[in-house]
Amino acid sequence: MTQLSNPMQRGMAQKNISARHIVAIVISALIYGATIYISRYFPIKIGTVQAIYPAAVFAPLFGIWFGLWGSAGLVVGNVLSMLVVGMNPAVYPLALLAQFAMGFIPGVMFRKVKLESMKDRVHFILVVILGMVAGTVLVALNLILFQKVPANVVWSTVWAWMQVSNTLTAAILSPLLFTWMSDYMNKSGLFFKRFWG
Amino acid sequence: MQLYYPSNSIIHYMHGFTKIMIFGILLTLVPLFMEQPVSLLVLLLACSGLFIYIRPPKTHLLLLIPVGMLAVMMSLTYFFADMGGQVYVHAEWGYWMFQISSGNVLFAITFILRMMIWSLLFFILLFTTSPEDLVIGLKRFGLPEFLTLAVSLALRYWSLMIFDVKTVMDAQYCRGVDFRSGGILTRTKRFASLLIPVLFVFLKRFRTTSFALTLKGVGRKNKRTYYYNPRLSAIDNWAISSAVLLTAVWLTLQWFYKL
Repeated sequence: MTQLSNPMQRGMAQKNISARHIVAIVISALIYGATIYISRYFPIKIGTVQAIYPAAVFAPLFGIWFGLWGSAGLVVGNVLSMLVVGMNPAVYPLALLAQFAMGFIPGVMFRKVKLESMKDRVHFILVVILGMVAGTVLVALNLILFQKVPANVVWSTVWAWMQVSNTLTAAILSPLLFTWMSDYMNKSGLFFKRFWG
Repeated sequence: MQLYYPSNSIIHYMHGFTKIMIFGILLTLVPLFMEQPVSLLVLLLACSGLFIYIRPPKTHLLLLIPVGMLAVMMSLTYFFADMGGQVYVHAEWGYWMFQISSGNVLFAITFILRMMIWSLLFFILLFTTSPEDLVIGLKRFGLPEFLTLAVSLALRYWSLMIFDVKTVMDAQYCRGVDFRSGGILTRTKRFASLLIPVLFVFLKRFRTTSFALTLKGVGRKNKRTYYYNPRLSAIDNWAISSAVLLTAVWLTLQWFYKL
């Protein structure tokens, strides 16, 4: 037993990328990708932007639960959902970066597994809003630079609507989902205490 | 997500790296710099020719419908700005406006053509490349080991996830939940009842995966070995050179003649 535990302990103490980091990417990618994939079947669009975007609710949560690895998973998940509908990810570089920002910003600014006080709730909602606003700016820039959509339309119509479909939806629903799911994430050992894993 | 199907076209025999390079990157760049609808139409016809050459099954052809719908929906953005030309319809609601003019229609058509070219190119890549080859192709681009492993796992688990959802749906059927009747709201509520069990089934599966990967030594310093690791062949070298040349020629022509 002693012989077994030593290499095991050495393995656990390693600071390399391990199985749990990869699993964190896969969890985030699949759940996030599936949510985007489902929402693509409700093609209520304003320009290139989904009017109803339930995936926005999950994005900050994966950033907080899995840190950097959850944020990377959001990018992989978005690519996955693009593959199925024949959208080439190479044309959406800033939109992919936006997915990363939606997880990264809340993840780096809020590192608690529970919302214990009103201060926590306010802090949580603020970082979610910040991440979403940064993400939507990047999506808007992608529309202007790569899809060649007129800038005035993007900022006045598309970006403005994204504040409802992404920012407002996430600000309302993310705290509820976080409160409900976080206990399980913590107990199952899936939660990353440090942002870098 | 079984988009790949085996066949005997030359594209099927190419390495994953070659196909990502040609259809995912090089040829994708070309429509980005095209402004004339006629040039885009010619390119679309060329891409359609390649698409027909790989002979996709009829079920795969149906995938073009949602992409086409998506492109049309997206192109509507252009009707919210003044893109010049002869105006046919003009309406204003305070700060916002809606306009149908020859300029708007032209921009919308250009956008649809560009989207369809990108989709066809990407479908050629996906229909002719197995998930394993796709991951090996990505690896050749120098992506880190953990990322390619994550992508391959995600591709593998995508179909398992659909299986899990079906299992939970069957279980809910047994409990008397009817997903086929009722209004939109009722059906949405019933489908929402799938969310909780499905989420927990996924998380349980991922926990098992985490244990399995740890036991297999993922993250240790030893390099991962592969049973299947194809090398670039003469066809690949020839195809990449041709694509690079074609893209360079096109971009040069575009620079001088604004095609």
